[in-house]
Parts: sequence; structure tokens; C-alpha cells
Amino acid sequence: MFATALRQLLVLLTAAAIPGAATFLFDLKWKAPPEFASISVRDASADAGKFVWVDVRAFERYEQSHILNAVSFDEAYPEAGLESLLKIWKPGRSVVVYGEGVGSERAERAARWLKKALDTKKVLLLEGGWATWPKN
Amino acid sequence: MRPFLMLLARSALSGIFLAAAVLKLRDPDATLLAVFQYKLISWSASGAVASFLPFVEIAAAVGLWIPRVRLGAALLALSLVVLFMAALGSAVARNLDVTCGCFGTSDLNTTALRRFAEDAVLLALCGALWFEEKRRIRPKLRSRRNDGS
Repeated sequence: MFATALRQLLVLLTAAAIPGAATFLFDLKWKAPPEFASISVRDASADAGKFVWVDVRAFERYEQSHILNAVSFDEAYPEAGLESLLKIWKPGRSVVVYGEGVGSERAERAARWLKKALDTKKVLLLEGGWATWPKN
Repeated sequence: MRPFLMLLARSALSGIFLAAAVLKLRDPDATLLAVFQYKLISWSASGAVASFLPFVEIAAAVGLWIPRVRLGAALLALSLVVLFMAALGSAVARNLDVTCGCFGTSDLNTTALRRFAEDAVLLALCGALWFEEKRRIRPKLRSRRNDGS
């Protein structure tokens, strides 16, 4: 009886080992697609005028330097940021949000908020954020 | 009544294992961290466990519905639950502040004690299925043995 159970268990483990080994060896990701599309610095900078830029870094950092025509967005006062944004944004125009660097959670939160407030799907994240943006 | 209860137990157990596997596969990095935080194995071994574990859970969940491997699947499910309980128990004994990680990142606020209670229920279900399968398969094995002799 126990030998039968072990034999069956071995069959199941072998079946599980195939995708398991593939995942381990090839580092496969089974993640859901990302919530936001992202745009590379190269693509974004080549056509920077096409986008509406939203800078979610601290205001002092924004004042020091920012992407041309970027709007500062403070998540503590999102309405103020939205007001400035609405002066330059038109439906259909893509919004690119950026934070300090790679995987900025603040940028993601702002993008989520803006997507809802503007009722648009065209909200992107800048890959690598401000850290990777070419500074002259 | 008994077949109905067993069907219910099988559905519950296979649903739980399947959900746990899917949640782990959706967030492999969190799964890797969850395995590593138990401090039982190295980082690279945790990577291997995090890669294999969801598929082992899927195999157990699916196997519970395939008559030819149902006994093995019940044993696999039982072994997994015992393993989870042992890992959790060792973490609690070493005073490690661990989240279970059994359901990816969706169970970060579940306390060890609650998880123990849930695992005990799972263990009871696995045990019930194991004994049921043994009961089901015993006459078949006996007749096969008699045919052979």
C-alpha cells in the first residue's frame, strides 16, 4: 500500500519537476502584467515634447532641476498638481510620470491617482526615473 | 453522505493548494523572500524551493482528482502540510518574526498561531483523504495480489 502511494507520489513530483526546473533554470517570471506601461529614457527624450511630464520628487528637488515643462506633483496635495497638469494636458496626450530612480513607488502611486483623475489609460512611467535622464 | 463529504474535502484541499500555487507564481520574488526568511536553507536553495513548490502544490491539487494517483496526491498533500507546519513551528521556536508566505503576499498579516490552526484543518482534511483513498484502493491491491499468486 505504502509502496503504491510512494510510486504515485514520485510520478506527481516528476510532473512538477519539469516546470519547476524550467522556472529555476531560466528564471521565468509568472507575474501578472505590470500595472503601467513604461517608456525608456531614449524613446522618451527623443520625443519629449509629445508627452506631459509629471515630476513626483520632493519640491526642492524639482526646483533644482527637472525635465523641461514637467509639472511638479506632490502626493500630499494631489489636487494642486492636477490643476497645473490640466493647463497643459489634453485628452489623448500621454502623461509620463517619473520619480527619483528605478521602481519609484511614489511615481506608481501618483500614476495610479492620475489615471483615475484624468480617466485615461495613457499614463506611463519613465524607466529609471530622474536618475537616468540625461542632464545636458 | 460519506462520498459527498470526501468530495467536499477534496474540492477544498485542491482549491486551497491551487490558490496558494497561483499566488506564489504571481509574485516569485516575494515567494523567494518568504522561503528565505525561515532561515532554514541558503538563498540559492530558497530560490530552488520557491521555483518548485508552486508546481508541487499544483501536482497535489490536480492529482487529487486523478484516480490513478489519488493516493500519492493525498500523501503529497499530507507531506506538504506537515512540512509547512514544521517550518512554521521552527520559526516560532527560534523567535523569528516571519510571515507565512503560504499565499504569496496576500497573507502578510496572518499570525503564526492562526496559520497553525489553518494548517491543522488542512492536516485533518489530508488525513481524511489519505484514509479514504487507502480504503478505496485496498480491495484492488488485494485482488491484484491474488491474481498474481
